[in-house]
Amino acid sequence: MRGRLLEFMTGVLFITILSSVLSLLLPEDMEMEFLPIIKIAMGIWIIHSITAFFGHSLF
Amino acid sequence: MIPMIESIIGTVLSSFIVVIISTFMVLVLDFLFPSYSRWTRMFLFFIVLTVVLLPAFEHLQIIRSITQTIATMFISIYPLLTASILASGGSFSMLNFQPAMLLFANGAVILADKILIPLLSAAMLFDIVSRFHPAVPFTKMADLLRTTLLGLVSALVAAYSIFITAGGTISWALNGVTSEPIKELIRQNVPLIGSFMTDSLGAIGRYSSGASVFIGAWLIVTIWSVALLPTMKTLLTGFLYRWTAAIIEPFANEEITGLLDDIGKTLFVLCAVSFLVAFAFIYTALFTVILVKLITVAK
Repeated sequence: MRGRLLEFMTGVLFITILSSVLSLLLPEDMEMEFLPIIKIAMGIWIIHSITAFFGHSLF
Repeated sequence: MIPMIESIIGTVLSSFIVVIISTFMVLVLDFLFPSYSRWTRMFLFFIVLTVVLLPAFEHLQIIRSITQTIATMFISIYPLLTASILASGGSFSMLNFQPAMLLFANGAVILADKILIPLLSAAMLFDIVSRFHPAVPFTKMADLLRTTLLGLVSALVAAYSIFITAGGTISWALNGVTSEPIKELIRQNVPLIGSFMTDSLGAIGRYSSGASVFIGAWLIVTIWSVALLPTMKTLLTGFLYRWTAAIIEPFANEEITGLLDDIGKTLFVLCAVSFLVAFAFIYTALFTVILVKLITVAK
């Protein structure tokens, strides 16, 4: 359980840092267009983690 | 007591002063260069994280090392204890020894080490992520983790207290007349864990006052200070986090104050966890004391 938690947290941290760095570098008006992509990435990661936790694989 | 408080405040307060000053500097920078406000916000966040996270994770590690020590102590003392029960026969029956309590304490220590600490650090990370990137919030998850852990710990300690009182090992209850106003004060002023804290303190007091029949008061004082010192440290640090958040709230970003507040809340839950651990430690010490007493009486 601990390894899974660590993996999940690492992924969440990675997505957060990556997306915030990207949104800093992008111009301000593009940030709103960029936001749904971040949300999709986070959603995919969460669903993947849940399915992996119960022994299935999303991809 | 006073030097201890001074040393804690000295180590933690310096980092909080850094937070306060850097928040103010960012305020000035934002006023001078409004177009760079996104960058200054990011830099402020990183400064606050590097300065503030260290004391919090230090406390997590302190509690973890204490639980590991206690688990080792329990495992090492258990064969000795059973052997002494067998050897001393009837003289121990008046103590009404309960193995279930020992099992309980050990289970609590393992629970704290394997589940509580990782989940608490996960809650802390969730808080940071949701403050760092407000578009992708994890606040509900962090809150859920905290409240679940708190419920788990308080249920365990309640069961502990039932074991103590219903077991009837020691029936000398602490006289509640003097401590009642202090209890009420703590209960009203410490959110979330106040009532739980005073209850567990009362249970520790009941148990240790009974044991003072066997041993001198100095040992009880030692046990109290050794077991409760990390807890008090954690509680004080949590208060300092919330205090800093309260001070910088008028002129800082909402994210920074919210982050400090959340870390303070997490440290309060950690304080509850270390109360549980302090319980286990006191049981260990008392069992050791009774064992030593038994050996000397048998001679």
